[in-house]
Amino acid sequence: MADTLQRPTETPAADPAGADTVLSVQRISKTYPNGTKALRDVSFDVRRGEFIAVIGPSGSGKSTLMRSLNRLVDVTSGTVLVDGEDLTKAGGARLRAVRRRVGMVFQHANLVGRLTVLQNVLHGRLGHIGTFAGMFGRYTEADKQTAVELLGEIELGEHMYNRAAELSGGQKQRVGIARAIIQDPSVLLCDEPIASLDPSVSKVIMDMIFQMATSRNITAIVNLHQIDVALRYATRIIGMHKGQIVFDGPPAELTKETIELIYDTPIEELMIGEELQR
Amino acid sequence: MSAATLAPAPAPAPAHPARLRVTSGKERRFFTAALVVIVGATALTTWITGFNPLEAVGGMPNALQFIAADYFPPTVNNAGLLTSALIETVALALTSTLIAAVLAFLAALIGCRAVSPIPWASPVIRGLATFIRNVPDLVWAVILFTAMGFGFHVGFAALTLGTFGFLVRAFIESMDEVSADTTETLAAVGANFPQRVMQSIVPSFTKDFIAWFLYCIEVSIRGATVVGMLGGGGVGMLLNGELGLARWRPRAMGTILILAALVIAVDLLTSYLRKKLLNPSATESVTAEHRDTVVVVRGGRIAIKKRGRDRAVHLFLISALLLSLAAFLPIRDASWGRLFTDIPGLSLTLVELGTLDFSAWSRIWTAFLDTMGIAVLSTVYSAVLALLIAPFATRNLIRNPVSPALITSVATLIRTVPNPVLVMMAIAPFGLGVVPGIIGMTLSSTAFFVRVFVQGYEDVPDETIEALQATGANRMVVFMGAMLPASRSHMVAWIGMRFEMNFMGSAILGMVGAGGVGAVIREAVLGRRLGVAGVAILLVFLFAFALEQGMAKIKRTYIR
Repeated sequence: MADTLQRPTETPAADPAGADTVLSVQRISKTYPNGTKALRDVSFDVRRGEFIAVIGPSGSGKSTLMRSLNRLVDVTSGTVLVDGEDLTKAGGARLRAVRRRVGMVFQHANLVGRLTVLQNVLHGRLGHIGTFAGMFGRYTEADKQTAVELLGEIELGEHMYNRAAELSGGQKQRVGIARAIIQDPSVLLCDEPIASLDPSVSKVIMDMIFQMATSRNITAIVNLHQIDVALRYATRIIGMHKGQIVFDGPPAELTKETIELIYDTPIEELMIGEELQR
Repeated sequence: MSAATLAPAPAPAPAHPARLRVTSGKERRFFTAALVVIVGATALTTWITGFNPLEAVGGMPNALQFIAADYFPPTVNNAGLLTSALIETVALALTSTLIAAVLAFLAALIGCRAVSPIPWASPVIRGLATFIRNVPDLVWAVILFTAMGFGFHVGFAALTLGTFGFLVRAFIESMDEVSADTTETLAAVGANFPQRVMQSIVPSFTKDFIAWFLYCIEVSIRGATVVGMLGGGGVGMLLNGELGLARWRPRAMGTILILAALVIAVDLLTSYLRKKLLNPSATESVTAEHRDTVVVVRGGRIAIKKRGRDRAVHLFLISALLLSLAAFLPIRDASWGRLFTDIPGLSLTLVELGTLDFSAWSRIWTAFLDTMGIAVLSTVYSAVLALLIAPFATRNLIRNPVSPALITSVATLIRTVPNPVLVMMAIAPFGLGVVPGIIGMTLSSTAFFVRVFVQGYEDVPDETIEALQATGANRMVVFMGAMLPASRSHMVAWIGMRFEMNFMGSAILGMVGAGGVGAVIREAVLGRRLGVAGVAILLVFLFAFALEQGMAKIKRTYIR
């Protein structure tokens, strides 16, 4: 695996704007029934191959933004286009079709503990196969072969037939990544993928997400609490504050003032690395 | 603490220096309020019912003599009839639990907001289940017997309805807990609803399903007996006849003892199955140490799971299914078809019940207060009795094994006898009215409290007891200082839960001859004054519902 203590090399020179857009978020807002305005008029476009980190304090709308991108949350207004198709209007089979182009990695992996690791990886194929085949776990041999190869890639081949519940937190998250990758998505959403893992496991997981996404030319959008992690991996950073985007640009442009704006706190009060307090 | 607070206070010291509290204010206020409410309710209901506990205690020797003369020696001289009646009752319990569990699972899928495919329908399902659950089973039985006549299929319908109402809530809570996150995940993958059910909910939910199924079998065996007493057939009907005629009472005692043995046997079986199937260390013989780098191929296909995994669980599920289906066979005099053809008649009855008739309100209210009296007084007295008895059955407090064994077995025996049977036995010596109701209810809930209190006390680790003893504490201090405080919140929760049960239980006692609102419902239904019965049922429902909501809130707020 690549040594990522240094910033990984940037992706090849970006295409002209709009040319290869996989995801287009247009003026979305979300107000929950209890009156909380989680998103206020958020817009941005995502090109193929970008690795985006979304940073912001708790309650800034990061999680809601993630969940609007595959419609686990219905937005109040605005549109989300995935590969040019309107996600907000899709329903039934079309919604499923859009959703399978968007993979998602959750904070707690959310595996079905009583099923085997292999079965959990294969869950990523449910959107691609028929209802009955999916209900009774009749996956194609090709899918199973891919799953076995992926398990080798994430170094969990020997746990293939273990129950998911028997894995450690980091191992579970690796399975969660494999489940998203086997979907063959255009976009990979990662919602706080390392928030409940220890630092060494966090590095393994972030390396894995980065490597899986870039080698397959999948666009990744990662919610993060750690600014230093965001700076190390991202090709673009989106900073959110109270449901609005207050920063959207390359990591080099993320200044001390911007960080203070995002977190609404003097930089001395933030627990981040010395080198960031430039 | 700052230096200022350490400085001597300039104000003169108060005459009684404030005592340093060792418990938190919130906790103290809660227990004080609980005590005030309990004492107040006891005084009020004692005044309403005129129940004198001393008289009841004084009447006990007489009553025991009465029972000894009337019911002993226990006789069984109708083995054939008894056997078939017992089989019918077990069959009734099995079939109704199976059907209720299947229907409740389907309803819970819609009722659980996190997994529901039609979220707007989930409050409807939960409301319906709440309504069914908060009307006592026996009231449903009486309604159904009125609308559909007597027979096994009606008893079946009544039991199924009661179990359904209970299970829907239990299943929704379990699903919320075990599968909400993974179901969301599979939605994100693009899985549709049937796939989410089979791939996420079913595998996560199996253990909870088994646990609730076993619990419902235990409850339904008792329930099937009681429904039988009202006209559902089986051992309940047999017992009802035997209890009613003085010269058959020794036979009734024989039946009660055999029934008790059956119930104990079922409880032993279910607790064995629980240990075998639900204890993770027992089922996961294959642990993470067991590794396979090799892909298993069976019949040219890559296997996605290990063969033999969960074999015990699958074996149990299949045999439970087959056994429950086979249980339809011994039920001979049931007209299953009428369960469907009688639906119009049933709807008509429900409409008539819904046409509320308040003309008998004062009588209903008086009867309702009697029911409240039975519920409050039996709960209070049984809790007090159990507080006194339970320490002597606690094995890590009492060193000799005799008294715990003796108390536990008497309590177990009492718990196996359905409550209405205890009440019917108390009617002969104490006369009709609230007194036999209070005595019968007190007996069975004392047996219940003794068991749960002892469990709470025995949960205190031996190390804690040792530590206290090392400081020189005697048994009394250990009990008051460690066991009681450790289990206090749980005891309050159990007492609250049992009060809900006792209220529902009291509401039906009138149907077997004790006082209270049940008698009014039964009379009104038999006299086809369904509007009057409707008012009484609504009153019972509203109180039970308020109680359920209130207890849930208290539990959330105060009981950790």
